[in-house]
Amino acid sequence: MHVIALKAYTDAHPFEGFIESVPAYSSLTIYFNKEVNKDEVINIIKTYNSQQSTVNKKQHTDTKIIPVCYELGEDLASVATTLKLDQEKIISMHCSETYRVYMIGFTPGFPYMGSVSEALGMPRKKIPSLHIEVGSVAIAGKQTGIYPKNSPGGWHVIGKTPLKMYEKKRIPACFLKAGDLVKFKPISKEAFYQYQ
Amino acid sequence: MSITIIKPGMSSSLQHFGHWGEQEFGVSIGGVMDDFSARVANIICGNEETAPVIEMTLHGTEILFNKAACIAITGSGSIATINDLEIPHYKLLQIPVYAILKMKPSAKGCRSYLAIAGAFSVQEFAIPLKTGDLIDVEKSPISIHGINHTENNIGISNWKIHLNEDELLEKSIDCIEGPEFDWFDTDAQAAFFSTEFTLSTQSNRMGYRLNEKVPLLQEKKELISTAVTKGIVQITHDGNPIILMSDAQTTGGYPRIARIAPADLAKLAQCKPGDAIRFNKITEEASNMKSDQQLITLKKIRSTIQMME
Repeated sequence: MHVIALKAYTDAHPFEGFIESVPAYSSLTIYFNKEVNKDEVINIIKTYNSQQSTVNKKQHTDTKIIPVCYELGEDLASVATTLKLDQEKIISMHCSETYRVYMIGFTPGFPYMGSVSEALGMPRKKIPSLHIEVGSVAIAGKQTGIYPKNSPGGWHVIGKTPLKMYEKKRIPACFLKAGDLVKFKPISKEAFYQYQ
Repeated sequence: MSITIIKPGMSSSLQHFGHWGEQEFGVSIGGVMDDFSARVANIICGNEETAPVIEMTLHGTEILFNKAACIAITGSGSIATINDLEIPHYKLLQIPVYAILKMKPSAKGCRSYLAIAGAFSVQEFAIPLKTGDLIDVEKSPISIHGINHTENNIGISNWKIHLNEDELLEKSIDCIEGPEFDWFDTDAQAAFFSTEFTLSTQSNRMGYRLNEKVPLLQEKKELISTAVTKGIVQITHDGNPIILMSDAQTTGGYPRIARIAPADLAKLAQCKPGDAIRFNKITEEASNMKSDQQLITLKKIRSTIQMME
């Protein structure tokens, strides 16, 4: 996770004029004031890269457990039909992997996580759903994600979590960040409603 | 002191001047679309340049002032009237208690800004205003010199800001090469800078989708989703450009052909569906100079007004 390590470094050692950095799958975008000389930023990154070869890159990351009620996954049945798998199998496959958050995007707090087992690979919906409910846990291709608020979306909803992915007034507002490890844990409908 | 929204019109909202630092969590920068006009409105009112303003898209907005107030209207989205009397933009206006501001259709631009001396007090930004909303004003109006009282008890400043409105409404948009500019062959690059593009009806505060296409390479190159922000121009798989505006998403998967010179985002903010625009390539240095120039213009406006008062 070179992107995350570089982000941690630039956040910890901000240069004058640094604004923020945005990690994605295979890139880190660094925003800075126009007064900053671009070559200086490139040099900072080069210095960092050369330092990295001599230090141990392994960082300990906790795995966050996210409870999911799969009974509330409105597309679980159709996904099962398409993949010719029974619903129990889909749930156990989705829960068996440990996923990494590659980036947050689309809408505040939406985590793009991977990699979903190839057997669960679903293409995006041809026509996106106009209304996907807050907390919906969904899959598309090798990715899995969680809708932080009611919104349109093209992924297949296989469950629902009672956890809030983004709350403006909470610190931190965003439940997950790029680099985090995530595991899903199945819960019953009763447990889901008890959360709320 | 407070104002009451009688009608929100096409779309009105209280806006700040953009919020950086949370794009990694998917939070867009947001804020006013036409940063320049919005700042000028605050300067005229003697406010902090980045005090909250009301952004009004096109026409239809109607606002009641529950006390006498000093206000300014800038931008080009509509013709403004107070108690049915047309009032000038870019001037300080002293208006009586229970005055009603109405924004009427104008063919010129797309967005207007309302600032009030003392500044709006805001709990939450960017929420669409609706009928009945009450917005408080932090302090009472300041005492103001250089006002000529006209009919209907409306005072209009006897000074004027010299702005070239034609320049603000010009449709040639300067931009610099984007990170994936060289993914496009020379034909596509040339087409991008020579085509007259029109804004589609799918254009809003998130982004402008353009109707015309640029020719694409036969071999399709997929971009792995990466960061995007306000001002980035993406080319979709169909070849249509999308210009990302204030409420843009923070990540995207289309190649980024260009980035709008930040100083020209104000001109784009005044474009509406159907308007034709052209992209003009400039260097990053030239773009930075334009931004500096815009800061100097704002400073000049501020010192001119201070001299008049």
